[in-house]
Amino acid sequence: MNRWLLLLVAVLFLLSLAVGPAWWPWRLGHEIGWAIVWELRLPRAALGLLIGGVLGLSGAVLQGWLRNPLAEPGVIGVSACAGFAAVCAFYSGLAAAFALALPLAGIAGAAVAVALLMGAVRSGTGTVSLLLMGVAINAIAAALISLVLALSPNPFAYQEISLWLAGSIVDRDLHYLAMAAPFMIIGAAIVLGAGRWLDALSLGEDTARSLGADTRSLGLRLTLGVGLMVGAATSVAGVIGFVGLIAPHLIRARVGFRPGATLVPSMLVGAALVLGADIVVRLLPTASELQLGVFTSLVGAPFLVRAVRKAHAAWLAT
Amino acid sequence: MLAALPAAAQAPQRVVTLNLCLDQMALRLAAPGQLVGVSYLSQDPRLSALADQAAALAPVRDSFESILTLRPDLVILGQGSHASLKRLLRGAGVQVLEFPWATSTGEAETVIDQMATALGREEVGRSLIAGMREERRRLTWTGAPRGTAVYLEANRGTSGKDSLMDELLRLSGYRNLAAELGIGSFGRLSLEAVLAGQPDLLVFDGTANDNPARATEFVGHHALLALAGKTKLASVPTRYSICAGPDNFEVMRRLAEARR
Repeated sequence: MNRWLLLLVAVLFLLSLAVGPAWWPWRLGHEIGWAIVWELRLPRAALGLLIGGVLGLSGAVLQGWLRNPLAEPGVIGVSACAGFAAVCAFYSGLAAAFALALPLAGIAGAAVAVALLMGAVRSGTGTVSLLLMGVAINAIAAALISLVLALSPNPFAYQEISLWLAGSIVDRDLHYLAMAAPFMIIGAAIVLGAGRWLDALSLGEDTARSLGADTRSLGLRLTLGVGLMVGAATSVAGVIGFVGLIAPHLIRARVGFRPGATLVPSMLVGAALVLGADIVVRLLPTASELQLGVFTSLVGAPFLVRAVRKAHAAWLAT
Repeated sequence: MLAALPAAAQAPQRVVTLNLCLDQMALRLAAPGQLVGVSYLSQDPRLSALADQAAALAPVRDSFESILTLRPDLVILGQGSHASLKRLLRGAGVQVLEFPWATSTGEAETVIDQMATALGREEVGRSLIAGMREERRRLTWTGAPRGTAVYLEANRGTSGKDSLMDELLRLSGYRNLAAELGIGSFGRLSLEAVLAGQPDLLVFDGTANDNPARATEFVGHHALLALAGKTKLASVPTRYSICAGPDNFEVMRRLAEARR
């Protein structure tokens, strides 16, 4: 299955380089053609690939680790917290003074959210408390973002942040790619290495410990990994929701419901989803392009409703 | 002269305006001391060409109480907003005047004319309008078409068909690329569409990056360098283009001065 997914991702990546309002840009001359493909489409395709991949992977990790099929960076507030931290870095001028401040702030925000959520799960109250914790984190992050905006001297802050929170990878340049890619790749490597322990962890922490897992360092490792991935992704692209929810769901049944085995396929499905969605928003006949995050939410939210209905009895009881 | 006296006697003595664009007109029309408050936005030099003048007046936020403390006898607002505020003001016996959002210099003249009448300042209004007509006539490009232009504002926003900037570009001899791409009065344009359109003129606010904001980052995007050499650049501070009115001719002057 992974081979086919890899092929799909590769095809979508190439399509992403080929699709845009200019279509075949070389007809406009060498210089403009080069600028369109190298400076605009390549960062966009590469960010779609990486961000989709890390969102899918984060969804799979969180769902396995928190033992909850609804866990997703957007739904439970990890993206929102990363967004708040990135907004702070941006409007304080820190990001302008020190370029890496933006992804680093996003990572810190995401890691704090994951740690808070893990605390809620440790106290052992199941699905409902996790989701309520997510609601609370989302609400606090939204309120804090509004506060920072109210203090910003820039008159366009409100409009831009509502656009940014809607999620988009349009017109990011290579500089953004170079800034965020290393963090996302390191984060992915960290959690992929922990895959085999995720199966043990899905049986509960006590069971995992009895199987020889060091749950404490594993928790730190997963928090750091998800923080790196979601934080860096959000600081560049804003909130692209539901990818982390959909990707693991699409492949879970095919890998025999083992969390560890969902990681790599979820990453590939996530990359395919974001690359595909980003191509679709370019092709939709809207005068101004639809925001990528709006599109994934429009498609993803009904998926969440369906997932809730389908498995209602199974895990609300837990 | 005598016939004008009753109207002057009825003219409002304490006027508050609550809309950036209406502020700009009132600041030009009102008699000394007649205008007691303008919206706080008018004190922001990035948005308001008359920020210095506005700074001498009370900055007003759109709350009933802060307006009442100025004891106005006339409050001027934009049409289609602040419905509950207007109701409260009328209930408190304050006269409320609403004007539509002007999206062309011609519409701005109509609003100026009506506001001048309401303020009892017809004479000032007439000369302001005559000055605008003269400037428009003088700055309108009459030579051969100058090609296409595109306006990039914050958040990759652009002004398409039937927008103020569309009129200013046309008067300056350019076709508006965004309008030709089917974008309405406000829309967003990707940089790829800008590059593909190969405009002859790129209009943006070159001062916008002074405050950190993602909205204005595109100004520094590398891809735009591909247009260097072919496309002329015109930097138009937002304060001259945000409202329809006399300031728009500063936009046209800058468009005329644009260099490669």
